[in-house]
Amino acid sequence: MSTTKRSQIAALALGLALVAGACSSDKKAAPSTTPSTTPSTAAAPTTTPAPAGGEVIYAQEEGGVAFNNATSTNNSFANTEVLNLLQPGPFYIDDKLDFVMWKDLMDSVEVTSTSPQTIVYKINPKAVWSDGVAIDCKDFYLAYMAQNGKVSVANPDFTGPGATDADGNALPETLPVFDAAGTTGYDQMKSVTCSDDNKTVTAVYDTPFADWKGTFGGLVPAHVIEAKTGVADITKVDAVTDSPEIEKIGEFWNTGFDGWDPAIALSGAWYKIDSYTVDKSIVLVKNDKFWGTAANLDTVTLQVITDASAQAAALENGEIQAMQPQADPGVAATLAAASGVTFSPASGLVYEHYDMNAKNPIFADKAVRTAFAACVDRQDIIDKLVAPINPDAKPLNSVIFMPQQTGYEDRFSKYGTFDVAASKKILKGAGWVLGGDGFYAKDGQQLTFKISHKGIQRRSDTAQNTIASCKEAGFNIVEDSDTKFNSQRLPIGDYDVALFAWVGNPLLSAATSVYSVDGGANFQGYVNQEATDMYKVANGELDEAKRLDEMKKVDAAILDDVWTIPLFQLPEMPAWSAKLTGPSFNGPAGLTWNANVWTVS
Amino acid sequence: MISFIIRRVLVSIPLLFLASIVAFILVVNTGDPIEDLRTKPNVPKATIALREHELGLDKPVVERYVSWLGKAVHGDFGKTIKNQPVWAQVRRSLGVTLRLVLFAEIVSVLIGVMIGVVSAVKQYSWFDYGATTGAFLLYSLPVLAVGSFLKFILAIRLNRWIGRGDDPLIKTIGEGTANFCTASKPYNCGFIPSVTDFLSHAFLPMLTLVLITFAGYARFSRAAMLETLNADYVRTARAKGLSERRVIMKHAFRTALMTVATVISLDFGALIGGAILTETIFEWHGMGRVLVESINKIDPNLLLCWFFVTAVAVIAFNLIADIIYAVLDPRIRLD
Amino acid sequence: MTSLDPILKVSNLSVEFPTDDGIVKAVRGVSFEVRPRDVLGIVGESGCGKSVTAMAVMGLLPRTARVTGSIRFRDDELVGLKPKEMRAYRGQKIAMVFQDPMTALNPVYKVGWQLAEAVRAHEDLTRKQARARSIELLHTVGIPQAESRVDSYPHEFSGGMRQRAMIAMAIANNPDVLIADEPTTALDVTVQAQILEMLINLKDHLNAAIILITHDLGVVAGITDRMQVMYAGKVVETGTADDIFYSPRMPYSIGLLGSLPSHAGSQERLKPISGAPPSLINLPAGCPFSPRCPLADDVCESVEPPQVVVSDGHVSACHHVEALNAMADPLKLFEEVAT
Repeated sequence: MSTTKRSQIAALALGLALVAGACSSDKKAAPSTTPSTTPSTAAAPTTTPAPAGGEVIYAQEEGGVAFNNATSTNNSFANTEVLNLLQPGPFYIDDKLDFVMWKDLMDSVEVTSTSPQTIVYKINPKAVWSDGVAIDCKDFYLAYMAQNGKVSVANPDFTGPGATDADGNALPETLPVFDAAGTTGYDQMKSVTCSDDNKTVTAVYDTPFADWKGTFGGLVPAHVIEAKTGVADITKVDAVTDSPEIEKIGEFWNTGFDGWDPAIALSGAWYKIDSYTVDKSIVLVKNDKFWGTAANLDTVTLQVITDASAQAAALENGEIQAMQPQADPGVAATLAAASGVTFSPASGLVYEHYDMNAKNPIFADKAVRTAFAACVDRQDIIDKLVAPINPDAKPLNSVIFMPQQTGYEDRFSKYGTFDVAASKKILKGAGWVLGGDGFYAKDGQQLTFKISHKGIQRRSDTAQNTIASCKEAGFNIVEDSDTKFNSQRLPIGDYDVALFAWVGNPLLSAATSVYSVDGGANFQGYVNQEATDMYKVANGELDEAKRLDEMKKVDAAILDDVWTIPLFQLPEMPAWSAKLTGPSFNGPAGLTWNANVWTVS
Repeated sequence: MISFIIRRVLVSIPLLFLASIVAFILVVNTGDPIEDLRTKPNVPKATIALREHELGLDKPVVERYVSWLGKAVHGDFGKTIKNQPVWAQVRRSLGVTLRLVLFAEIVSVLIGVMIGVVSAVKQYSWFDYGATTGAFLLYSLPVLAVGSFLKFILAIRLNRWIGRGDDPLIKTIGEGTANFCTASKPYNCGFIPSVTDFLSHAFLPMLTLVLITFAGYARFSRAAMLETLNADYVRTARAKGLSERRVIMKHAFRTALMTVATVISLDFGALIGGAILTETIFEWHGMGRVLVESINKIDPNLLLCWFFVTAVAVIAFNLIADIIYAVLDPRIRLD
Repeated sequence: MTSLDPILKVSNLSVEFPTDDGIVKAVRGVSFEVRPRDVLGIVGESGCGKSVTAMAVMGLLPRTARVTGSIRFRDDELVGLKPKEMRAYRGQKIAMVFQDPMTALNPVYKVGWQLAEAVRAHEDLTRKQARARSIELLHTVGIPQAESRVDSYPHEFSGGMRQRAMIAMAIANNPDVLIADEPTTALDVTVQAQILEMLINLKDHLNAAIILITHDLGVVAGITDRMQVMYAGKVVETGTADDIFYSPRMPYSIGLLGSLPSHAGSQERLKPISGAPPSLINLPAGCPFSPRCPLADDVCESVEPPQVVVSDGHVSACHHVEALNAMADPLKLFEEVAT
C-alpha cells in the first residue's frame, strides 16, 4: 500500500514550489552538457564515435499517461520522464539544476526590456514536429492561453449566491476553461505575440518575473488542436477572454493529449512514440524528423515496474537497463551488491527540516532557537537514516539552494553543528538555569516543547534522536506523532516544532511563500520584513548575477534567524547497467533527462 | 438446466446491485482523490474546483452512485482520476491475470490432484508422508520469500550460468518484454515469438503460483479420495473383481471429483480478482494491481470496475460450480 | 466333481490387524467348509469377526491385515495370492452381497452400467451384450420393467430394489460361492423375506453355495443347513440349525436365542446378554465369554475352552457342555441366573 515516491513528494510539498514536474517538465539534455564527452583536447572529430544503436528499458514506478503534463489531472513525474525525450521547450534543467537554453530548438532567447519585462524567443526555422509541421509561436501562444488562468465559464452547478456543494462548501460561480496545474509566470504576462512568420515569440510581462525561464516548458502542438477543433488560427483567438473557440480549445487541451496516441502526442525532439500499452510501457523510437544531433539509442522504453525490489532484480537480470526507484535500504543493499550494476545513490530534492512556531513564546528567545539548533545532531541522524542508502549524504545548509546548484554555500553549519557544551553555554548566557531535573528553566518556565510529525518511521526516528541529543543539553522535548498532522494541523500552525519536508526547486522564487511575511505556506508565522522585501526584490531582478547575490542574502537572512533547521535531503537511488554509459542524476527531470546521449556496449 | 441458469442469473442481479452500493459507499469514504492537488497552494483554487466538478466530488453520494450506475449498466465504467478509460485498463488487466492464473491453476490442479490421489491410495506410505509434509511446507511459505528466491537463485544465477546474462532466458518482471512486439518490430508479433516471450516471462510467476497453490489441492484431493476410498461402493467395485486402477479411477476418483471440481471452480472465480502478491512480486499488471492501485490512488471508478468484474466472476463461477456438480452427480437436479 | 466335495474350505483362519494400540486379533482359528447348494450361516454380534472372515475370503482386507491359515477354493489356495491373482476369483468364483444397498452402489453410475461393469470384468462381452445381460440379470432378481430400469440411477431405486440389483451384480458371473453379509438388515421386514427367498432360489438355480452372515438368528432360521456362532473372533459353536436352535451347548448361543422374539415367545420379555464383548486387542486368558457368562468359573477365566464334540457335527467351545447337557432347559439359563 505504499504511495509512490512521487505522490509522496507531492504530498510533502504542500504546495511549496512550482513542483518541478508541473512547469519544468520539459527540459532537454543537449549532448554538449553531458559529462561523458571526450576530453577537451579532442577537438578533432577523430575521437572514437560513441557506439550507435541499442535498446534501453528504463523502469518507472508508475506509468506516464498523458502528453500534456501541464494539466492538474495528469501532471506527474512519470510523464516528465517520458517527455524529456520528445517534448520541445526553450530551456531544460541540467543536473546542476541550471536552466539551459536548448540550442537545437532556440536560435536565441533574450530579455529585450526590463520595464516592462519583455522576452523575445527566436525559434530555429528547421524545428518541426514529427509530422513535419513547424514548431512555432502558435505552440507558445497555446501554452500562454492555457495557463494564464484568466479564462473561465459559468459553473453549471451554480444556482445563485450562497450555493453550496455536497460538503457544504460554497460553489464557485465560474469554472476555468483550462485544467492548468499552475499559472505561475503566465498570470503575470500581459501579452504573447507572434511575428516573423511565427518564428519569433514576444512575451511581455505586467510585473517583473525573474524565473521566466520556467515558462513555456512542455509545449504541445497547437496545429493538432487547430485540426481537432476546427479553429483556423489559434493566435487569432483572444487568450484571456471566454469564447466558443477557446472553450473547444480548452476541452481538447484538457483531455485530448491523454493516452500517447502517436498521431496526437507528436514529438519535437529526439524520440517519438512507437507504441503505448496502458499500465505497462511506452516504447520510444528515433524521431526521423528530428533536425538536430540524433540520439544514440535506437529505442528507449519506459516500463512500469512499481516494486523497487522487482526493479533491482530485473536490472541485475538484464531485463532493464536503468531505474530510479523509491529509496529503500534493503533495495540499496541489493543494488550495491549486484554485479554488472552501477549504483549511484544521490541526494534528492526533498529535504527534511524542523520549523519552530512563532506562536510559542518560548521560541521568541533567539537563544532557545540557536541552542536547539546546536543540540540537534544532524550528522548522527544522517548516519543512521540516510547513510545506509547514500553514504555521501551531508547535512543541508541552505533553504533556497540545493547543494548542486550555483549559489549554494554552507550558511547553517555555524548553528547546526552538534555541540552540547555550546548549546548549554548559549542558554546559560541568556539567563536559563539548569534545574535539578536536568532541564533548563527561566522565570518558572521549563525548557520544554513538542516535535510534531505525521507519524512515519523516519520522522519518528529523527525526532527521537533529537529528543535524546537535546536532553543532554537540558531540553525536555516530547514526540507528537499524528497521521493528520500534515493535512490538518501543519497548515494552521498547530505545533511547537514541526518536522516535515519541502521539495527543493530549481526556481529560486519557489520558497517565497514559505518565508515571506504572511506567505501562503508560512505556517510557522516567521516574520522578517527585511528578508521578505529582499526576496521580493530578488524575484523581480532580471540581472542574473545580481539576483544570485540577492538570493544568497535572503538565504543567509532566513537561516541567521534560526527559525528553521534544515536537516537532510532524502536519498534517491538511481542505478543502471554497467553496460550503459551516460546516465546522471537529475532531481527535477529524472534520469532520462539526457537519455539522448546514452550509449550501450 | 437452462431455467436454472436463467433463474440464478436473475437472482444474482439484485445481489450485484446491493454489493455495488456497499462497494460504492466504501470507496467514496476511503478518502479524497484529489487531496494532493488541494495541498499544493500553487495549484489555482479554480483548477481544484474544476476537478471537483469533473469528478463529481461536489455532488451528493447518492447522486454520484446513480450517475455511476446509470453508465455502468450500459457498460461504461467511466474514467480513472487520471482521466484514462477504466474499462481499457481493467480489460487488459483481466487478460493478464487470466493468462497467469489459467495456466498456473491448470498445472496446480493437475499436480495437486495427482499427488493427492496417490497419497490417498498409498495412505501412510513414505510417499504420503513426504507429500503431506512437503505440501504443508509449501502451503505455509510466504509468497514473497518464494518469489525472491526464484528470482535471485533461479533466474539471475541460471541465466548467467547458461551465458544468457544479457539476454535473459528466464525473466523476472512483466507479462512480456516491453519493447518486444512494437510497431517498429512487427516480426516479433507473430505467434511463435509471442509465445516464446510469454513463456520466458510466465515461468517464474507460474512456478510460484503452482508451488503455493498445488499443495492446497493435494491436501484437499487426498481428503476427498480417502473418503471415497472408504466408501461402500468402492468395496463393491473391488468385490466385482475390477482392477485396482479401475476401482480408483472409475469409482473412488470419479466420485471425489465432484467435490474437487467444485472447489476448483470456486477458487477460480476468486482468482479472477487477481493473484495480488504474485502479481506484485513479478510485476504482472493484472487485476490484483488494479485493486491495489485503485485503493492507493483512491480511484472510485477503477475500484468499482474491479469490484464489478470480480463479483461477476465469483457469481459466474459459483454457478459453474453448481452446474459441474450437477453434471457430475446424477442425484442433483437443476430445476 | 461330486456334490460332497467342498468348494470352499477354510481352515484355521486367523486375521490380525496391527494398530497403534496393539494387535487386533479379529479372527482366531476359524474353520468351515461349504459344498454346492449349501447354506452356511455365520452368526454373531458386530465385531465378532464374521465380516472380517468374509472379507478375508474375498481378499478384500486392507493391506495391513495379517492373514494366516488356509482358504481353499476347490484346489486353489487363496491365502497369499497377489491382489492381481485374487481378482480372478473375486466376483467370478466368489461373489458378495453387502449389507447396505443404499451406499454399496456407486451413486454416479446407472445401475445397468454397474451391472455391465461386473459382467465385463470377467467376460469378454461387447457393451451391447453386457447390457442385454444386465437386463436379464435384473429380470432374474425380479425387478419389473428391467429394460427401462437398467438406465436408472441407484437413487431412483427403492432399498429393496437396490439390494436386488446388488444381488444381480453378485450373480452376474454365476459364482460358486455367494457371501451375503447382512443382506437384509437395512431393509424393512416385508422385503427381508422376499430377498431371502430369492437368495435360496438363486442358490439352486446357480448350483452355488451361500454363506449368510448375520447378527440375527431369525434370518438364518429355516434356511441354513449349518450354522456357526462366532464370538470374539472365534467359532464358539457349530452345528445344524436344529442343533443350535433346540439344543445349544454354548451359553453365548443361548444368549443370542434369548434375544430372539419368536424364540423367546411373545409373552416373555427379551433377555439381552448383559455386558459387552471383550476388546480384541487384549483378550483375557480364558474363555472370552466368561465375563458375561452365568456359568463362568475359575477354569473358564484361565483356560480357553477347546472345541468339544457334542454330537455328530455339533461342536461347542465350552467347558460346561456336560452341565448344559444335564440341564432341563438350557434356554432358561440366563433367566434362572437373573432371578
